Formats: sequence, structure tokens, C-alpha cells
Amino acid sequence: MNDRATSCWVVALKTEAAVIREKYKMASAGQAGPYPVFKDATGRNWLTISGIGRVHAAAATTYLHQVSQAAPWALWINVGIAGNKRGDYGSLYLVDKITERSTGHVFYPRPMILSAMGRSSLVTVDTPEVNYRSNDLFDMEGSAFFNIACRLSCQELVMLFKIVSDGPNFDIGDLTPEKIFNLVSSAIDDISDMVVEMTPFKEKERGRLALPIGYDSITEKWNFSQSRQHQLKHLLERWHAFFPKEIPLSYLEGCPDAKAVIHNLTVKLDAHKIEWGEP
Amino acid sequence: MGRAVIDTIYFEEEVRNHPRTQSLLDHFAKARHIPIGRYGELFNKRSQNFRLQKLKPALILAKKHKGHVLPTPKGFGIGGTKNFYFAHMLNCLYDCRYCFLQGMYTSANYVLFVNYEDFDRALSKCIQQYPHDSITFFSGYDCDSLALENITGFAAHMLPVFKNFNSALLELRTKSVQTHPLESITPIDNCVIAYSLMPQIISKALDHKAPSIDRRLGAMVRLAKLGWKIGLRFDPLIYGINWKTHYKELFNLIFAAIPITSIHSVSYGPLRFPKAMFRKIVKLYPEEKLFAGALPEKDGLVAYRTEIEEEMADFCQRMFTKFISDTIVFQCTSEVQAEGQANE
Repeated sequence: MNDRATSCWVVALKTEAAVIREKYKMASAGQAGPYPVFKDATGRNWLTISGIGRVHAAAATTYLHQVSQAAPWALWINVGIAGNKRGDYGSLYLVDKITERSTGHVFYPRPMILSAMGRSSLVTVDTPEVNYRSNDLFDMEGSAFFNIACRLSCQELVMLFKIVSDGPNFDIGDLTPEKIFNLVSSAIDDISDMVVEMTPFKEKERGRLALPIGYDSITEKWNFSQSRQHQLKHLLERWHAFFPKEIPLSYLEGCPDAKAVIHNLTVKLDAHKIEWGEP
Repeated sequence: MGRAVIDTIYFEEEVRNHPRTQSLLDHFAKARHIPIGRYGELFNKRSQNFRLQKLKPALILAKKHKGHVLPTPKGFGIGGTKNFYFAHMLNCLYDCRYCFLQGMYTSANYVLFVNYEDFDRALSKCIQQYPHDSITFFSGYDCDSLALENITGFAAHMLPVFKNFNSALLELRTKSVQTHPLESITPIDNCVIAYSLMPQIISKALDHKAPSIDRRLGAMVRLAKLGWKIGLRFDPLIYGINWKTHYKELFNLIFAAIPITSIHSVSYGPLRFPKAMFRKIVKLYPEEKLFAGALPEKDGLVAYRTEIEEEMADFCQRMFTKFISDTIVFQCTSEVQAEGQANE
């Protein structure tokens, strides 16, 4: 069991959350905080319900990051309903441009995977859009979610999925929890497939950002100051670049303290000459 | 290898109606086309992940407003009294691990400046400004000059223009074997096609997505036969076990294949990074063994130890004198420009 989130879901509505919770078998994470939080049995999928609007979306995203201890290589996913004037009720879109109407700020999510799923621009508004003035999708959370999630991970690992729920021929006032549940239910398998497809990118980032192998066992054995921990991390990265199959700990036996560990590793690595062509 | 798959094109509204924009949007009709304001609002964002983006870069079409032609850093040149560089593109199709571009920009997306004619005017103005100097213009500093030629057509545009600037020299630096624009016109006297080279065994480990040394050599031979002047660029020199043997083999191979009369110049230079740029690159690729060796920092630069740099430079210099005249051999001592955003 690993309780560090690697997929973080943020939705505005309880009914949107219900579909995702069901899909991933999420239960309450037991937090008593400003936003309800759920997680699955593996501790890797976490979800929060922000409520409507930018402020809540930003706050809930930050809150989820805090309580889930989300890894810096975590995927951040926003799923929600949106309006548009095209009238393709029920269509699922991956968002690749977000305009925040009140500030004019523009964000560019960059989907990493080619997919048959449609892509669309999104306008985040502060009051429900009923005029559908452009071909964009309209929601009330997207820009704030993206803006915050990018700071917690990187923008290539942030995705926004929008399902068309209203438009000129589908009055927003007619939306019911049941309709919303059905809309998200019809899209959840496609969303889930896409999330699975993102795994290699997450893994790539995990490989880059995670503490190097051997770091924990070395810091348990010797007492490292903050700055020496930083040095050790860098030295172990160098070690694994040169000797991917060798365990550094066996080379460090006999070191009396952290200073000696740093010294021994430095000497060994500085003296190593690269053999190009070696696998 | 060497083909760009573009699934997203961003274009500045300002160049929406530019013929090159239109032509590229038509060419990539299936790609998603997204209008933007200025390219910097997308390209310079801090939260981007260069390494992930490099897996699938998008194309950004933009207008370059100023700074079309800039002076090169000191110590960069092939004999001219004034050296300038220009970049019709930012970023590169290839993914060479020693490349400074990975530490320079936060984005791996390709930016193509479609207003080529403004580059023509800037070059012309620069030449007029220094009528008594021998000027060299370097293309391929912020991108590979030819790698995306099938998309950009920049060389095909620039070469006929540059033919008229016969008092100046143009260097197109590349690793590309995409030489068709050069093969379809008469060679231009004041243009050098300069190939970046390193021993095959090292290139295999570091020149990701780039044509092999054999293929580059094949392209050089082809171009030399057609009458193009060839530049040989051994920059950066990469150290390791048996480096002398590897470089000796490379030099023997190249100088046996390319007629000496076709060689315009040879240059070589050390592996060097500004400190901050090096840190950024290592963070991106902590598992890369090129960065795991002893690379001490001195005066804000990260490089091999001085004695290694000197030994490599001496060795190359001695080797070159066996094949060519000293007068066409140049040691490049410049460091790359300071890291920064692509700003205007």
C-alpha cells in the first residue's frame, strides 16, 4: 500500500465524482477538511470535489495536493461538464487551450498522447454562460485548476476532460444530477484509457525525480546534514549513471560518518572514465 | 529518423495570413491548429517539462520582430573578422545530450519564424554596416540548419538570397542528411555546409534522433562531389576511455572520404556549459553518464579539467596538421550564451 497520490482527480460536482469514485472504487480518505477527499485502495488515485467556481477549484486542488502528498510526477485530471454552441451533447473533449474570461489569461495544456478524442478550447467564466458566443467550451473551474496543478506537477501531466452538457438546444437549467451522472458515465472509460496511456510519462518523471536507489539505506545508516543529503542525492545519481547494476552501499562499508561517505563516493566517481559504447 | 510528426501547430494571430503559415497549416491539415498571441506566452512558461515535451514537440509559427542577426559569443569563428549568427528556428529535431538548447529554453517546442524576408534585410544591413570586414554568418546556433528543411524551406529560400552577398560567408551547421535543397542548385561559393561530428561510438550514445556519423559522412561526400564547401566541426570534444583511438579513427575516416580541396575549415572546441545551464540539464537527465564524470566548475563554467581540455585540443591540432593546413583549423573557445528566455 502506497498512500502517495500519483493520479489526482478534481471535479466540481458530487455527481461527477460519483462516477469516478465508482470506477476506481474510491472511499472517503477520512479527512475532515474544507473539501471532501476520496482515495482508492492502492492510495494512488485520489479525488476531491471542489464545488463550483475558480476560487474553489484552486483551493481544492491545493488541498488535495496537501492531503494526498501527491508526487511531483503525479497526473492531475479535471473532469467536468461544459457548455458549447455546437450542440454535440455528450461529446467528450480534451482541452488544449484555456482562456480565463475575467483576466484574459490564456493557458495551453499540452496533451502528450495522440487520440481519436476531440480537442477543444475552453473558456472559464465566472457566471454560467448561456449565450455560447464562440465555438469554445465553457466551464467555471478549468483555468484555476490548470494554473494551480501546473505548479504541483508539470503542465504535460495536467489534463482537462470536458463533456458537453448544455448549449443552445440543451438548456443549462434542465441539467439534473441524473443527467450529469449519465454524461460522465458515458465518458469515463475513454478518460480512464487515456489516463492509463499517460503512465509511461508519469514513470519517466518518477525515474527522474524520485530519490536514487540506495539513498534511504545510506541516510538510515549515517547521519546526514541537509546540505550533505543534497550532495548525496547528486552523487548517487552520478553513481547510477555510471554503475546502474552496482549497489553503492557495499562500496561504503567502513565509512565512519557521512563526511567519509561523501568523500569516498566523490573520489570514486571523479576517477571514473567513461567507456563509450558500454550499455 | 529525422522526420517530424507534428500534431499541434500554434500560430501567432499576426502571422495567420502569412503565405508560409498558410502553407504549413495546409501541409499539416490534420494537426490541431491553435491561434495564440505572442509565442513567448506559450514558449516561455515556467511549468513546462522540456524532457517530456521533447518526446512530442509542437510547432509554433511566429514572427521575429527584432534581433534577426546577432553577434556570436567571443571565441566563435572560422577566420572572419566579424561573426554573427541568426536563427530562423528555436529548438531542434534532434536530442543531443550535450546540446545547450535543453538548458536554454523551458520548452522543447519548435518555433519557426516565418518572416524570412526580414532576415534577408537584416543580413544585408549588417553587411553594409561593415564594408571592410570579412563577415561570417552562422546559421544553426539555436536549431539545426537543415534538419527541418522539408517543413521550413529556409535553406532553399536563403541560399539564392545569400548568393548575392558575395562579400560575406554563410555557414549552415547541421547533422542532417536532408540535403535536397543543396543538391538542386549550383553550389554557392560563399556558403559552407558544416557538419557536427564526433566518433561513432560516442555519437551513438549522445546524438539521439540524429543521423549516424556514417550517414553524415555520406551526405558530406555527396555535397563535396557537387562542389559544396564542407566544414568539419568537432565541437564539443568528448572525453572517455580510448578517446584518442576513437577520434583518430574518425579523422582518418573523414579525411580519406572527403577531398581536402572541398574542406573549407575545421573547428573544434571543448565541452562547456554555464553553471546554471549545466544544473538545469543535469536535473533533466540525471541518469546521463556524460554529466556523471568529473566536470569541475571554474569561473562560472562547467567543463572537463583544464589538463584534459588541453590534451584533447593538442591532440586534435596535431592530428589535423597531418591532413590539412593550419590556416583552416580553428579552435573554438567560446561558451554558449547565457541561459534565458526566448525574448525579443
